[in-house]
Amino acid sequence: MRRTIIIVGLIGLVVSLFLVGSYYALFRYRTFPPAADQPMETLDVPYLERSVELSERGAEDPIWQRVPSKTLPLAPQVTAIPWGRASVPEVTVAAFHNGERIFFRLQWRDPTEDHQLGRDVFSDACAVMLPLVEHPQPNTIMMGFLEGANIWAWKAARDAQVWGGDSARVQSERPYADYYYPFEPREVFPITNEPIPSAVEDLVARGVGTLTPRAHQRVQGRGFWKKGMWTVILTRALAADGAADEAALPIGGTRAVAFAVWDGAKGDRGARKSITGWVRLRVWPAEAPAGASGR
Amino acid sequence: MREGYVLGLIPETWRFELTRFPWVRRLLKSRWMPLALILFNVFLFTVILMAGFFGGLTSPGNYNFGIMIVWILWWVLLMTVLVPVLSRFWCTMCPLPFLGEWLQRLRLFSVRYERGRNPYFGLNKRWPRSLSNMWLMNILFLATTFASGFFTVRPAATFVLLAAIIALSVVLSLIYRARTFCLYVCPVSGFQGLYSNFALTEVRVKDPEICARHKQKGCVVGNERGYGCPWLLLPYAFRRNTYCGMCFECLKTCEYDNMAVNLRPPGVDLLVDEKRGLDEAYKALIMLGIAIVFFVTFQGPWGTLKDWANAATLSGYLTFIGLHASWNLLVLPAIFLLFVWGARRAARQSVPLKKVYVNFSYATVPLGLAAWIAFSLGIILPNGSYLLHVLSDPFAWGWNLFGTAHFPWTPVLTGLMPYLMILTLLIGLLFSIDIALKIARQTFAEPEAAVRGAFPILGFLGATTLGLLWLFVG
Amino acid sequence: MKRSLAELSPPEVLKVAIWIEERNARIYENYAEMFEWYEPDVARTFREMAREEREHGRRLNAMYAERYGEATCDLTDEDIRELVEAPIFEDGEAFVYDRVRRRQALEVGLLAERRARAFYMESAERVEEAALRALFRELAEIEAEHEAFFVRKLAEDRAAPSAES
Repeated sequence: MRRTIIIVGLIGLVVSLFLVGSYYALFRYRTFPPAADQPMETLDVPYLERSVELSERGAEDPIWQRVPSKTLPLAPQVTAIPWGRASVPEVTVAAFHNGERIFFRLQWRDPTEDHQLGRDVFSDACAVMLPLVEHPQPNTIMMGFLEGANIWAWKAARDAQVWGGDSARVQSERPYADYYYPFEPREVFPITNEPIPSAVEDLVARGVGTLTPRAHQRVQGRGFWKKGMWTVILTRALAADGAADEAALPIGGTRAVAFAVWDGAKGDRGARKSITGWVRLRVWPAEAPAGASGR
Repeated sequence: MREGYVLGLIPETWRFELTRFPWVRRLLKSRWMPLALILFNVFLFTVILMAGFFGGLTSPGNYNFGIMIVWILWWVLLMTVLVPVLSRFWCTMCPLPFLGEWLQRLRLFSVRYERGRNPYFGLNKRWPRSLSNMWLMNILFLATTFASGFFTVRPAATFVLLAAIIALSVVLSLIYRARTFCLYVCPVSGFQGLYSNFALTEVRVKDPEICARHKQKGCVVGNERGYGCPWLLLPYAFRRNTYCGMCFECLKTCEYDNMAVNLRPPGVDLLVDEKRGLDEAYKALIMLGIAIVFFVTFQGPWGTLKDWANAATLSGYLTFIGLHASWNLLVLPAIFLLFVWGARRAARQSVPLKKVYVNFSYATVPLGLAAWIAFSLGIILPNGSYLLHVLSDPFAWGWNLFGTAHFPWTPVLTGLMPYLMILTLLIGLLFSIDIALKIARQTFAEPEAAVRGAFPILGFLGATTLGLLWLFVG
Repeated sequence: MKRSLAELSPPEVLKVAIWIEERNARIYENYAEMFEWYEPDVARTFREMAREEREHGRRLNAMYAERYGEATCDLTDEDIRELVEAPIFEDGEAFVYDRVRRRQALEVGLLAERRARAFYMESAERVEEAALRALFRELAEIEAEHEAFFVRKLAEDRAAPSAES
C-alpha cells in the first residue's frame, strides 16, 4: 500500500512538473538571440552629388571607381525547390546615393547573354532584396518565415523589351496567357501585351510562393552584357512612397540587403538561382565621416 | 542475383565480430557503458530543454540550441549514421527514459540483485496485449509530425514534446515493467526498430548451442552482473534488430561471453521471415509517406502548404492534418495495395493478400531510409552552420562561449546536394530491389511465380524513386 | 576433450542421460522463472515439465542402480559433443508481442523429446555394440513415452475452454 502511494505521488509530481513547465515555456518566455543573423559584410552607400544615366556610359561611368564595392560569394538557393545549381559563383556590388535617388550596380561573369524567353529558354536576371522592416526577424529553417521583403527584379528579357534590344524577336517569343491554340507552336494573337514600364519589376513577398508586383512600380534599371560580363544598374527614389510594401532607405541608416543572380543558359529561373547572404547596407548622409566614401 | 548474397556480392551470413577485440568486449561489459554516454546526453538534453523552455513560442528556430541540436543535428545523425550503420545505438545512449529506468532499478551504476533476481521498483504491470505491437508508435509518430511545423521553429514546442516524452516514460516506468515506453510508445522507437533491420550492426548470440545447454539464462532473468533484457527480448534467441535497444546488458549477464556485437551486410534482417506484421508494414509505408510530405512541405515551393502546417489559420491546419493523415494512412497504403494485388495476380499463387502485402512492405525499407537520408542532406548542408552559433549562445542570452556566436549562415556543399541525393536514392532503390526479389521467393513458392510476382513491386519501387527524384532534384 | 555419445559405454550413456534429464529440469525451471512475472500459467506449465523431467531422471537413476549398482561415473551431459534433448524456447520476441501461451511451452517440451527420440534411434542404428544399441533403443522408447505425455497435454490444452487458437 505504501509503495502504491509513493508511486502515485511520483506520477502526480511528474505530471504536475510537466504541466507547469509547459505552461511557462509556452506562455511566459520569449527570447530573441541578440546576435542573430548579423551580416558579416557591410556595403557602404556613400553620398555623391551625381547621377548616372541608364546607359552603357552610365554603367561605365568613372563615378563607380569612387564607390566602394563588394564582391560577394553566391550560393545555390536550396530552401525551396527548384534549387539553384551554383551557376554563378560571385557578384560584385556597388551603390551610392545623391540624396534623392539610390543607384546599385551589380556585375557578374556570364559567358552567354540570354535575353530571350521561350520553351526551355530562360533569361539572365538579378535582384536586390530589401526587408520591409528595419530589424528583420532572422529566417528560420524549414518553414521559411520572412518578415516580408521588397524585391527589385531585373530580367534581361524584360530589359530587351523596354530598351529595344532585339525587340521584335522577344515579342514573338514571349509567352501569353490569353488564348493558346494547342496546335500552334506559339501564341498567334498577341492581343494583351501590356506596355512594360521598366526593366525592373518592383515586387513584394511574404514567404515562399507569395511574390507579387507592387501597385506602384518605382524602380528603374538597365543591363549591359559585354565580354562575358553583365553590368546592371538599378535605381529608385530614396524616399519611399509610404506604402507598407515598399522598403524604406533612410539616409544615415543601415538596412539588410541580399542579392540574387540567374544564369538563363544554365536553366536558372524562378527559385533556381544563386543568392548571397545578408549584407549590411549603410546609407551615409551628405556629411559622411572622412574616409567613409570612396576607396 | 545469387541466392544468399546481398546484392549478389556479400554472403548474407557474413559477420565480423567487433567484440572479438578484448578492449571492445571489456568496454561493452563495463557498467559505465552505456551509462557514461547516457549521462553525457542527460547533460546535453538538459541544455536543450532549457533552451526550449526559455526560447518561448516565437524565437527563431535556427538560433535555438534545442531546435538546432534536436531537429538538425540529432535527426540527421540518426537518419544518416546511427540507424543505418549502428542500428539502435541511439537507444543505447538515449537520455529520455533515463529517469524512469533509474526509478525502476533504484540504482544508477550497480546492479540490484536480491534473492536470485533483479527486483524493480514500481507496479511492474504487463502492457496490454492489444497494444503489444507498433500500432501505437505508428499513430504517435504520425501525430507528432502533425506538429512538425511547430517543433522546427518554435522552441517551446520542442520543449513540450521532449518534456512530454520524459514525463510519459517516467509514468509508464512506474506502472509497467522494463522499457515498456521504449518498446511500445516512444514515437521515434518504431521507425528506428524497423529501419535497424537494415543496419550494419547487430547484437547476437555467438554459438546457439551454448545457450541451448545453458540452464540459467541470465540474459533474460538477470544476475548479479546485469539486468535481464530490459527490452523484453530473449537475447539467446532473437533474430531481428527490431526490438533490440542495444543496451548491452546481455553482454554483461552472459556467463559464457556468448553474446557478440557484429558487423554484417545491410538489410539481412528484412529477410527474416518471422514476426512480420501489418503494424510493421504500415510503419514502413508511413515513414516513406512522411518523408514525402516533409519534403513537399518544408522544402517545396508551396507557401500555402507551409502556412497550413504552421497553423496560420485553423482551417488550414486541419486541412494539413487531414491531408497528411489520409496520405499516410489511406492513400499510400492503398497505392501499395494495388501493386501488391498486381503482384499476387502476376504470380498466380494462392497466397493470402495480407501476407503478400506485409512481406513486400519490408522491401520499401531501404528506399524509405534513403528518402530520409536525402531529406536530411537537404536539412544539414544548408542549415548546419547555425550549429556554430547555438553552441556559443545556447540560450540566446548574448553569450559567445566559443567565439562562434556571430558566425553567419553559410551553406555547405549545397551545389553537390542534388547529386548526393540522387546517389542516395539510387543506392536505396538497389537494396530495395534486392530485398523485393528475395521476398518474392519467400512469398511465392515457385521460382517463376516469384519472378512474375516481383515485377509489380519493382514497378512501385521504381515509380516511387522517380517521384522522389523529381521532388528532390526535379 | 568432448566425446560422442556413441563412443561411451552403456553405463556412461545412461549416466549422461540422467544428467540430461536433470539439465532439462533446470532449464524448464529457468523458463518458469522467466515467465513468472509475465504469464503465471506458462510458468506453471514449465514447472510441471521440470517435475516431469526430474521424474524421468529418477526412473533412469533407478534403472542405473538396478543394472550397475553403486558404480560411479564422472561423465555429465557437458562432456559429450552432441546436444541431446535440450529444450529451447526459440521465440526471441515472445514477450514483446505478448503471444506466449501454455501451448507454446508444451510444444517446446514436445520438440525436445522428439529430437531426443530421433537422436537415440539414430544412435541405435549407428552403433555396433549390441548392449549399447539395446540401451539406445530403450532410451528412445522412454523418450517416446515422454513425447506421448506432451502430445496428451497439448490435446488437453486444445480441448480446454480457455485454450488459445
